[in-house]
Amino acid sequence: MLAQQLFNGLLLGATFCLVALGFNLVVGAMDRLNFALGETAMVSAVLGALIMTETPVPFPVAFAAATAIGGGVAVAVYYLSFRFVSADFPTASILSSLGCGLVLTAVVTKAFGSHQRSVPDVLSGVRLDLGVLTVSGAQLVILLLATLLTAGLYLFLERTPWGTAIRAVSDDATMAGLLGVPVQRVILLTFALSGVLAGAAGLLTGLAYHSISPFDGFTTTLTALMIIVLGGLGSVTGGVVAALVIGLIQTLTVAYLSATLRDLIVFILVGIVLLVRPQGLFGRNAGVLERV
Amino acid sequence: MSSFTEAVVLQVGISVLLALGYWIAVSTGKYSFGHTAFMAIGAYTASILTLNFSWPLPLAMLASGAAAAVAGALIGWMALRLSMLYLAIITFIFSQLVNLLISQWEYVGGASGMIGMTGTTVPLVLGCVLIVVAYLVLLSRSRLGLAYKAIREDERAATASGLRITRIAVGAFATSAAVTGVAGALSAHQLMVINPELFGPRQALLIILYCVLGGVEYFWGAALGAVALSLLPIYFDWLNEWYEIVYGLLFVALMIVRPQGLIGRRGGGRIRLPRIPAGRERESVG
Repeated sequence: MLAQQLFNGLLLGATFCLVALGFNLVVGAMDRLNFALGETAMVSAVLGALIMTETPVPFPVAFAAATAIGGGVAVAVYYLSFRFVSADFPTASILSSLGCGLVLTAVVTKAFGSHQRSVPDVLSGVRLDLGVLTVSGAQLVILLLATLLTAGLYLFLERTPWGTAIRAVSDDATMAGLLGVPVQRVILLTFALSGVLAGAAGLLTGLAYHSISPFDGFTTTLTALMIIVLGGLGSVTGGVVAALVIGLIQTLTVAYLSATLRDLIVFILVGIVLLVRPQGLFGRNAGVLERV
Repeated sequence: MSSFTEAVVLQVGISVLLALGYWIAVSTGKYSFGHTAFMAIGAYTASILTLNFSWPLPLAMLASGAAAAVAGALIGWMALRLSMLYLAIITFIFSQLVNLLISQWEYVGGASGMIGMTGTTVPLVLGCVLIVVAYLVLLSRSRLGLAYKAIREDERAATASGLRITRIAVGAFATSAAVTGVAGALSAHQLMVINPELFGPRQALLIILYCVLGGVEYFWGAALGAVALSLLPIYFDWLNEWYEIVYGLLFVALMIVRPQGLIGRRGGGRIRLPRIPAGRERESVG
């Protein structure tokens, strides 16, 4: 029972981790938050679920489509809320991306209705029995894809020229630009990557719960923000660890205490961390970002 | 005054109060993304006092202002020492926390909320608006108002000039929360029904939009934004249906074209300073 719950918690954390990484990529590139990323995940999940139910394509195709949609939406948000919005007004992009999120949710509810949409199961025949815990086919898929994406992102950032460029821009955009890094294109790439991660997270979360609602975008953003505060703004390691911790806490609270306490305990934890270690568990310094 | 006109005046007055309250925080350059939390605290405090303890409304409003101010000081003290992005995240999370607590608390009706509050009158609302406007006029002429401006323009320079910026900003945040709390109390006693859903992210965005549309440089800009945005849905019915899309696009367009709002100079007269390398920043926080 405990092993099963721990596994479920880690699984939930793995999907959280993808969105939090998306947020952190953008924070790194521009020192700005994309508040529409949760809604991006929602749009991808809803469209991905539609593809799975309405067309006969296999799951990998639907998953690829969902990630592509996520990337596309994130790029659109970049052009609307970041590219042409003045950096002199630090809140301008936050407000603008909040506006984009509002529009995305409204468009999805107007086009596809505001009801919960069920996400079909994948690999429903597969069932791994490991003694203390059983792993369903869908869970296997979630675990595999989330791990692959996280590891892939890590390798991309550490081992490829474009990944190095992203890290350089994140470190110091002016210096990177002077050294010949095409800063605007790198930022565009960062947004696309964050959208791909969000799209994947959206569909995988839908798969885990077997359903997706157009109002999930807001919850996704909120959870990702708490992970970021807990792990430290812009810290990749912190994001991964905090995502797993929050996933575990939420699952264990629902299993052993009560579902109503789920968010409250996370809120309290985040509050304590803010008081004791405002820069987050793995953040270097809360003042690192330009104070405004 | 017909009852329709009265309802319009009440709604516009409360919106103006919300915008002015928010402007106080913004005038120090601190944007909150969860001011609905203070509105909810004010609304519920006043409702509990008038319904369960039969306090008169004006007294209950004072109490709700005080309760919101305490919450504002607390959250300000936690968040204002950190960077802008942290402030945005923390206020956002705080409003969700307040919402969650209210919807779990049986004493105030949980998710279904409270019902039966009355007593918001036109003189009461206009009186509150007048008091806040008078305060803001005095503030903009005082040394404190100048300090707010200094902090908004450049925190490092403000610290170097001997201002205790954290203390001043927390004070501004608490005042802002108090005004928002009073507006929440008035709103509750006008609507007669309150539930946690009223104080959700939609309302939070609306308050910001009031203030940002009009421009954050002058308080009357914020007030005008509130008047415009609360009158529009009353006279254009179709707006209610397309509300999210219209307001969302309004945000997007506004931020590209005039991020400083419709009233106000480009960039608010701000001079851009070279960035100081990371690591040396903490000393300037004060």
